Amino acid sequence: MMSPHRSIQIKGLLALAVFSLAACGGGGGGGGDASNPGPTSGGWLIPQSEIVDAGPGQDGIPSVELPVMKVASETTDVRVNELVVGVLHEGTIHAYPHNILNWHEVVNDSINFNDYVVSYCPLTGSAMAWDVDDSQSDTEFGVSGLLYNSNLIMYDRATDSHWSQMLEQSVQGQRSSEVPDRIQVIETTWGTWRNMYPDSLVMTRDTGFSRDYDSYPYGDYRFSNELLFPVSSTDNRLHPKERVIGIRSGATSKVYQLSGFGDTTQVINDSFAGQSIIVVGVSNQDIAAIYSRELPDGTVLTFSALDGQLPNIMEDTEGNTWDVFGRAVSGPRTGERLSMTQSYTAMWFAWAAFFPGAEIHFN
Amino acid sequence: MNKRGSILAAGAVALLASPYTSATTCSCASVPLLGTMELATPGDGKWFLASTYEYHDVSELVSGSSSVPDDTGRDRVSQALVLEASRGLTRNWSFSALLSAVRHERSITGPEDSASGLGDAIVMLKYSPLDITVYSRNALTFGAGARLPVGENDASSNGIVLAEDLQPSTGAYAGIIWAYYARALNETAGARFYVSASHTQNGENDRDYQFGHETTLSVGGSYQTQSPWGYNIELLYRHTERDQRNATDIPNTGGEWLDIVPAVQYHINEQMALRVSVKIPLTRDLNDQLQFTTKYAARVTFSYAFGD
Repeated sequence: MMSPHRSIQIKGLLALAVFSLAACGGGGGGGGDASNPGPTSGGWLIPQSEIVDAGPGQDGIPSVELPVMKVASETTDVRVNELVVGVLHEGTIHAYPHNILNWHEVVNDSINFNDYVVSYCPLTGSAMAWDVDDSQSDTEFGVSGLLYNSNLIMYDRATDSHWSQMLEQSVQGQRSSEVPDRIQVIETTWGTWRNMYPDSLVMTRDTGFSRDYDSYPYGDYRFSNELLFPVSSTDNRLHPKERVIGIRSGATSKVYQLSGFGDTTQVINDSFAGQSIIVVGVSNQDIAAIYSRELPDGTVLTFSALDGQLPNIMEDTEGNTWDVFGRAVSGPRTGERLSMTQSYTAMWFAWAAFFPGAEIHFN
Repeated sequence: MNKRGSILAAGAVALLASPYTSATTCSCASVPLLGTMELATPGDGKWFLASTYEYHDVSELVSGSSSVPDDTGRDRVSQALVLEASRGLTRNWSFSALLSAVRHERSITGPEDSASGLGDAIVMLKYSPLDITVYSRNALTFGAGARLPVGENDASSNGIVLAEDLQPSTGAYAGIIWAYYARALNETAGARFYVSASHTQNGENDRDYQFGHETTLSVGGSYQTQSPWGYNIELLYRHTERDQRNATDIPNTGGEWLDIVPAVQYHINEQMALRVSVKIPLTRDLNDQLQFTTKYAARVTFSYAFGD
């Protein structure tokens, strides 16, 4: 599940961060992995005093195992504007509607016997998918009932280690500091998804649990200025619930508001922390992604927008067409794929709490 | 206090100090505490002591007003021991004090989380302009008081502070007003009809959490036979506003409950009585939200009255 090389890198960063903080006489504070204060008395890599017991208890919000799926074109019970989490894994595409994830937060799924976990935190609006198919650490994940910066903390059932979703690493337990292998996630509206991938499989309401999937369990939370749980730092440059796609490298990060892309496809050939990146999005389809522009052969591509052709969303100067999952679907590089970045969509307040001082693109 | 009374009071205090006793429901710490308070007031110069054990099974999952299967194997129990002392100050005025000790338990698939300790206390001054006598069939009492967070509200499990509903104390002060009216239905006053109402205005604790303000209304009837046995049945309506954190409503809290509370009382002698009651939900309307709520509650009270 974890790439050893990346794990060593993260551990090195953590050690450096701990040393730096000790040297400054500091401690506590924010949440980014590069600014962690080191293990606390409970063995947590995040400030234990800022972890909140949200009430339901471990598995009080039940995860779903191997959900029943249905073909998108035959699915009729998802609202057109409902957001879905799309996952491309092992060449197969699955989608998970937010209205179901709101009640379960964690789905343990499998494609071609390759296990992975999809998580969605309704309080921070962040969705992730991690590969858990590893002969040494094959496990399922569950909802711990704990939050850090209002964000989901999962636990793995094999070792009871805790994992911070937005930090994308284990923060306590036997697997502490391990980093999961990410799987590319694309979020968009159901209407857009169904048009893009009518043959994809979609998680159904047949979860085995009695929940009202038509209702949103957190009142007006999605749009209000208020939070339900405390966070370590706040930043009022944007509305707290504004959806942003962010990219991070250590404690440095940059965000792009989903509302800032406009109603036609916009691409931003950008650079971040020494990386050449491509940021692409369409505001009225609630879709955005960030990939590396640098290919394994060292070529740095420059992209332009492709409008109205979703899932194909951009083309490059070599004449390749690329889809939202970063796959070249036509042109000389057909079959190649852009490298993932440490990026995902979340509510602004959560991004700002985890990664204080983020640069905001659309100002 | 005679010797027997002293022994009983000491026993009640010893029981209250036990770490495995006491408690309240989930998000409404004041309700069972206030609910245990004796409705009748002691006469001038008289004492009333009571020790109540409560058991709440808070594991019923309700969506809006419908019970739904939980499927998580959740087990959520609260227990409380409440000690009450009331004293008649004059013919019309009396004073009541209640102290609680609480234990909350929550377990699903992981290790059990629990917290126990001293909970909240209530002090209340009561005024009774009417009392049931040979000349009057009506009793009327008004009360005003405060709930005091004398207990712990930062209990933790593995170093992480437990959720507010698992804390023994609310950690916040509250103002309480209360009223009680009873009418004797026969000359011996063995049969009575009564109405009781209360309102609790909760404050915010040091974690910026505020339990929802609460209003209750109960209507009941009691019948004391010529034997030591007495019976009581009550309809209890409770409305709780949503809890708040940082002045923001927490969606899956608050609501309305209608419970029926049958009770049996046995008078050991003229001074001592044992009372057993159960609280059974009739309807709930939980703000259209999914909430865990009381499946049932049971209460046993031993009381002792004495004085001039």
